[in-house]
Amino acid sequence: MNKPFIFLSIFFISINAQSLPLPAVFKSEMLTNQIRTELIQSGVWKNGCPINLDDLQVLTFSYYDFAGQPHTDGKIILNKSIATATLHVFQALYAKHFPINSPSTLISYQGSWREAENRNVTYGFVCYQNRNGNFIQDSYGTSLTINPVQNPEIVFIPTSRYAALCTVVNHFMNCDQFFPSAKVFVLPVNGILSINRSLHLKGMVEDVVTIFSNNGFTWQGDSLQRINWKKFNYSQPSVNNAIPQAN
Amino acid sequence: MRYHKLIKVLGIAACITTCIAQAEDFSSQPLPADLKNQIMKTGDWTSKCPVPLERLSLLTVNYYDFKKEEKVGKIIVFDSLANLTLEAFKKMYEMHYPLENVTIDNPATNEETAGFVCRDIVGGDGFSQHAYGLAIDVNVSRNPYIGAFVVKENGEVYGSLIPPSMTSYAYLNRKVVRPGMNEQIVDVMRQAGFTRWGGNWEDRVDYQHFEVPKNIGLNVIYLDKETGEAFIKLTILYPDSAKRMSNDSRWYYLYKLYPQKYLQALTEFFPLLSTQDENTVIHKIYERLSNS
Repeated sequence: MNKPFIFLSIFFISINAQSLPLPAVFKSEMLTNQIRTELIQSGVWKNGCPINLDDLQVLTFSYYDFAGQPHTDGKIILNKSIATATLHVFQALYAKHFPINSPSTLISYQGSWREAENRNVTYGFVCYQNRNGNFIQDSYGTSLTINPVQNPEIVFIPTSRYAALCTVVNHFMNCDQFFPSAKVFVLPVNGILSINRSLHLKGMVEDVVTIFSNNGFTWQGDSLQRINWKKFNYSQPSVNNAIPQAN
Repeated sequence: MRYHKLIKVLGIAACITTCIAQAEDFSSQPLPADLKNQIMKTGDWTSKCPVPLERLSLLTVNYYDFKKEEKVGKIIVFDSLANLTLEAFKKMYEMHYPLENVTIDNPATNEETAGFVCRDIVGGDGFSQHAYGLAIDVNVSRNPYIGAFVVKENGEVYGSLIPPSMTSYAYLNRKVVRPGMNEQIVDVMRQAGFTRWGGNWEDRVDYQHFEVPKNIGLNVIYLDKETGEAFIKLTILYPDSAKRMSNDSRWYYLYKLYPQKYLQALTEFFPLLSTQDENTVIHKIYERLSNS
């Protein structure tokens, strides 16, 4: 007699527990000693990086994953000067239910952004020097990388070592004809199914570019020099300085 | 009165020079003998090519280049597509859509708009639709191809960019709309039977490429010129039917058995393909043709 009742009540309790909205979190904090140690041990930060650990912060934020499930434990490392602007971005993305895949401080990837991008990791700060020895903007903690598999970068490799000149020479003459063969590769490689942007795959950033631009980020997918759909570089001071309220 | 006459005469004279020039600039003809010889000499057509030179048409078209200057261009397509393709070029001319060199000669630069080329699919097996004259590449340098990715054992993946230039790389960005980007003519080309656009593909992107889909093309090439044209028009009118048609050899047999009545029966029953399976429709056409 009592059994069905008990069964039903358990059923309702479990439904209620699932449907309760998780309190959303959007906060930035100074790095704890533990995180500092981990950043150094994992190689995410090392001596010589163009930014001090004191100028980095850890952002904790809520987000939806690709299955539509909310999470409250998204963490990335960024320059403290853009923490507020970035939290505004994540709050707006959360309100829009824009899916974000595996945000990470890259500590668990030993700072290897290539490995992380292959696993479609969303990240902020990473200390990396390009082939010319220059630190890329990510090394200053003022760049965001979102869902790299759905938003890859297309890298153009001219086979002639002089082809780099074309970017300059093209203003005066048609330089292309001197370099009849060139290849492209896609970063990360599993992004090759995302190069057609008109497909509007889930997690492609086109629909949320204005959220970033309204908060001072410049989308690198709009460039004509280097097509990099995953990357948003912070470039202007944010107009809105108030820390967003968790809801 | 005399002035009226003069104006009338002048008007007619003006029309004779311009109207005829216009009419001449959008025309089609079978490949002239010297062109055939040239194509065979250069190896651009060999006996291994899937359609005979007799089934190709040479189109002369008017177009605007990127300096907004009027040009006369030439392009080769399958003969059943000749009139439809001319219509497409007329529309592009009217909308002042700029075109890169419309030429049957190899242009010195990557700037090109071309139809028939007897070649295989890039990075694949089998003939490209270009080899049948059933595909057109429009504004090649502003509408690049990216694909043919090769996965190497060390995990590196390289693809091809065609044309392989910095200019065409910049045109992989389709958000920044610039003149000559083919998004603007997808509908014009679809109305001409080129219902498949490479800009919609998922495993590669080919913004320059417009083609009659393979399943339709394989049915067009054995039809005579006029029947083929009428058939392509049906595929434009009934896209859902066109998707469901295969290269089942019974279509070929029905045409060969009843060449006179085939088109009429196809016109009547083709729309049914959107809701009924191919087998049922073929049986209905067979019944109609064999009993009339």
